[in-house]
Amino acid sequence: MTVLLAVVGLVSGLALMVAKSLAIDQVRGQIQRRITADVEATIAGLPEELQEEWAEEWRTELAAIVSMPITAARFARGLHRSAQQLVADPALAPAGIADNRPHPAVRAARWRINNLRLSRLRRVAAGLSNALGYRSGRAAQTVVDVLRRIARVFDGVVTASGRLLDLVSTGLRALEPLSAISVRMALAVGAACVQLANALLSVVARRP
Amino acid sequence: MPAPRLTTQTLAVLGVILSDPDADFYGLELSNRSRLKPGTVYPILDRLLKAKWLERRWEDIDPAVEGRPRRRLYRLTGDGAPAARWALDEHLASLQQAQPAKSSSATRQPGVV
Repeated sequence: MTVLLAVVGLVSGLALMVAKSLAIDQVRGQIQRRITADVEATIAGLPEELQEEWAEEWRTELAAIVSMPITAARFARGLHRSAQQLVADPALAPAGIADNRPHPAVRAARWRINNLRLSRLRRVAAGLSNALGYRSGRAAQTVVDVLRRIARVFDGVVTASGRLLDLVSTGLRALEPLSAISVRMALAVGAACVQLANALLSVVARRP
Repeated sequence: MPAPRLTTQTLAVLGVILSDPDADFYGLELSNRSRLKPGTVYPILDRLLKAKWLERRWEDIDPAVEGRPRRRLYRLTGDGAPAARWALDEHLASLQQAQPAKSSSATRQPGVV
């Protein structure tokens, strides 16, 4: 009897250990994928010339630390800030193209809009759609379709905002003496677009 | 080429590099050793590269043999090393000048001329 209990205990203990390690591996894998996706989204939000300068280096650094989730998450957040600064600072524009780039304030506003579109709007809409789609039947599917259509409309709004900022940017270059005033206008337009998209997004998020 | 903007953080990065001017450093290492976040370090590195105070190259290793990807390494240029040393010395000198004035004003009794 004692031997039987010992064997059962041993087997149960082993099964628990295996299950625990599998669960930990799965969570760790999910965190790593999430952090990698964050860094890739940050890189994707950069202009092409900055991607060429930094993408490979950042991926390499991330690969070296991705097994340490807290360090890697901190690194990913830091890269996001780096990307914002690199996009916004005219002194950091790669040589030879500085004159052709939009005004830094316009680039900063565009960065926010692109980031909103890529990392928030699509993710939230896709997450909601998946959650509803997997958990309910036809009625939920209808909601999912509506959500997707709304998300597409938002995407169009955000893209149009980006084009508007391009126009403002072109205007800024043409009206160089009045650039200080125009920059404020461009910033106000950019901020208003972001707020509008945020408001619409929160309406979508609140839907059942 | 104009000199880069020398903020406290920039001087911290230069201080780490000047601790071993002949060595190569990678971005995350500079971030850890200067105790600055990566978000601060990469724009600083970019400015120092554009000012030609730093140069960078990919590490010359075989990733399969080393078991890790190659890193991008930064080091001071021939022009950058003395310029960085001068900037750091200037900063330290200004701190030392400020220190006695601050301590003498701190020890003065209030109301006593």
